[in-house]
Amino acid sequence: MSSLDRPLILSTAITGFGYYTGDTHRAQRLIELDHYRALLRDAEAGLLNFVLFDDARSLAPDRSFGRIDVLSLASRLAPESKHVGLAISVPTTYSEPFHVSRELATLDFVSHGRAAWHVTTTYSSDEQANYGHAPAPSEQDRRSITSEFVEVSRKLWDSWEDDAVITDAERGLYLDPHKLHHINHVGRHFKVRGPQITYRPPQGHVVVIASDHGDPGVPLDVQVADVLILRSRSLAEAKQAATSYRSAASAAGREIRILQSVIPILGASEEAAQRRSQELERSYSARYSGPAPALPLIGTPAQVAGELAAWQRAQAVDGFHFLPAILPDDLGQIARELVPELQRLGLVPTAYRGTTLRDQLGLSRPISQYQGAPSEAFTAYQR
Amino acid sequence: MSSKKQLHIGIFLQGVGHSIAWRDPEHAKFTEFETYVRFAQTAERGLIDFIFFGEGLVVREHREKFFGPIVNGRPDTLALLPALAAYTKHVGLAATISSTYNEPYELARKFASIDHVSNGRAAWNVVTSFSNSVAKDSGGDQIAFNFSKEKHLEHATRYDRAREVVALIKELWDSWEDDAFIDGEIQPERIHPINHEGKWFKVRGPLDVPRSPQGHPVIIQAGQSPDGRDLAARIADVVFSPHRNIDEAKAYYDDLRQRLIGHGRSPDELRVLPGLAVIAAPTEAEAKERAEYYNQLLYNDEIVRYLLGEQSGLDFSEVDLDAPLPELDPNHPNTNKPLVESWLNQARAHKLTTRQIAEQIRPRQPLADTPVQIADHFQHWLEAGASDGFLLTPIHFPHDVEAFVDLVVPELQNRGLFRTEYSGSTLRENLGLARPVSAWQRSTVNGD
Repeated sequence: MSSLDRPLILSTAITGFGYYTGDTHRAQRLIELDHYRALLRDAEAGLLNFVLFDDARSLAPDRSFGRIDVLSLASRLAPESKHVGLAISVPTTYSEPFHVSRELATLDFVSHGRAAWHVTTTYSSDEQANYGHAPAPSEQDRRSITSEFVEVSRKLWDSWEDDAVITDAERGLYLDPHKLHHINHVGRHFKVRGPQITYRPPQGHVVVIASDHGDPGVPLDVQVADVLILRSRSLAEAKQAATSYRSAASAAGREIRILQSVIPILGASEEAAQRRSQELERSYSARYSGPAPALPLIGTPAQVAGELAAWQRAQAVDGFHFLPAILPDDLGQIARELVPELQRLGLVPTAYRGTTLRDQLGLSRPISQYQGAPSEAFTAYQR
Repeated sequence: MSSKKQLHIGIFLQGVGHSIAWRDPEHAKFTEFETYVRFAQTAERGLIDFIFFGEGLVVREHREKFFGPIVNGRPDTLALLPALAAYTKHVGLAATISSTYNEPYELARKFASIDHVSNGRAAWNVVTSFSNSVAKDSGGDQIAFNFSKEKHLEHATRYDRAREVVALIKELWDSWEDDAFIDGEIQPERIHPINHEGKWFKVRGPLDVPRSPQGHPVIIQAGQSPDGRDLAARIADVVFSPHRNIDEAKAYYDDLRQRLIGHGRSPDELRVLPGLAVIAAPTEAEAKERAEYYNQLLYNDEIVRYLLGEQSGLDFSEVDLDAPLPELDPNHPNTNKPLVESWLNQARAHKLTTRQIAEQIRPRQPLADTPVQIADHFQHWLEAGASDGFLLTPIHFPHDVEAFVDLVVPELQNRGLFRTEYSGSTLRENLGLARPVSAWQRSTVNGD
């Protein structure tokens, strides 16, 4: 089988200055569009399937930078990009599924089907202090809130069938009233009547991503997410985890894509890459305690591509989520040096395929769960 | 340059609730992103101050059934405006967002962010979410039901909350000093917690988004009730008003000016823009013909009952339209009390039927006329001190917007009543409003 029947999925994180210590002397850049514009250009040059914009709800703990809300950022840059998926981190803790699902639906609308939602929670004491709720929900509660939040969001995306707006002037009907649905959701955390006040997103459901990046309130649950991002420490560990997620997904009748996080540290020679890695580690440990995040892959672009090919041969995961060591530099290097090596190995295509992010990921477009159903009686809500 | 007072003009793409012009085959599709791009670009071609979108947090229903004849559904404005900023450079971008169903920290960072990515063009129309008690039998409320709540807040409570929300959000917008960066490097000592503890909220801050180009995005309010007028006078930079009668409009503006002074503000810190549907055509006959065409497109009893109920908060589904207006209860919960009282007074004074009352809430009676006549109207209101301009509420897009831009704007420019280029770099500057000074503003430049 040619590996291009199932090309590797590639994505990148866009978070602050990168995963090591970037140039904090230039913090103002993080609120300038040109910075993100250049990152998106690099991502599209490297044919990455999506970029994942990180966000939070308080100032960086060390006060080293501020930020721009990622919904504004992704929406603003959608018209300036053509192919790359736009994943934004949106927490479930102090927000409403009715708002969040709508914002994501509209990001999908303005990007013509390229939106994704990286589900996160709000739990640090700094963030909590900005919402006046005390105390923050426990880890277990946040997981349960998140699961239900996504469930409600999917219902709201389905509450307008695809062809609800008919503009039938002859019959005087702007919309077909039978194709809108009260969702009448009554759960442990949320009670939402619906329908949503915007159309079904172009992708049917926005792609939902869950990652295990230090947010214990987000369940890596195949019912919740379409894409899982792992932070395994080895191929064997990743393969074991992926196998178990895949069997859970198949039991649940859900499609799932599994990505492994890696930090490529590239150099013109292996020695140069090792030297760079040591420098990065030194500056990191001078600033933070604990080990650097995720799996570093150190070497020449050809060596790193070879390692990724070994993962691919082992069928461990469906692709890789790059955590650029330093932004913007490393993303450019990944796009211009690493991706061409992967293309040479036939692991990724040389042009974008498909129009929506779902197309690119090989995920089918979900049919509305209410399709053909009569509008439920309002009284169902009152149970 | 002439020092003559000039008009400020916004345009509202109504969408939801639109009952007429979608039936015209030339009307743009609200379900296509390109429609919104075209709207923004057409407004910018006409040097319009800002484009404006509404919000309603429920799909409009009629007696618990979805109502097919009118437009429902619209994109989320906070997610739409940044994308429109990519297609435009100058036109302001105004979103209607409820102060009742949002966390202040969320709204503060979103509006500041839109202001950043649009280079200072964001505006927030603060609403408290009026809701019909469509589901009154259950004792609940339709909007609240979308937010895990049983009841919508009562009118006075919503305004009390709104006052605190906006004050708190302004504190968050000011939590970064303007010069929090020096040569691109952040100055942590110039970022301040706000430690807000009020009746409704406890928020420590600072915001995680730096102070935005306008300092504060422009605040819009549309208060009519005493609570609403008071809120407008406290917080608003721009006020929308519903007046079609110049004397009422002037009285309203004068009242707002007095209230502004009462809140320690200068009377010229506010722009008052009455809503107005304009249909411009080269001849009066063509304009009237077009207005009549819109009327013919749709105005049946079903729509009349719907609109009466929708505007008043009361149920008109069983009312005989050709009988005298029944004794409505203006004090019914979540009823639009000033409106209902005004209907009752008019019906009593002039013995009006419900259908006659409904005449006045037909989707705004348009001003259908030649560019010269329309410009006369604008000039008259501006010079009489009845308004600073208008919020246009076009019935048909693109027709009415393009006709305004192509026919009326040049006439206004010829009279020196409207800009011939965008002179400011932010929406505030184009509105002639000062950039709010932060509490942290240093008396000397460069922090020395």
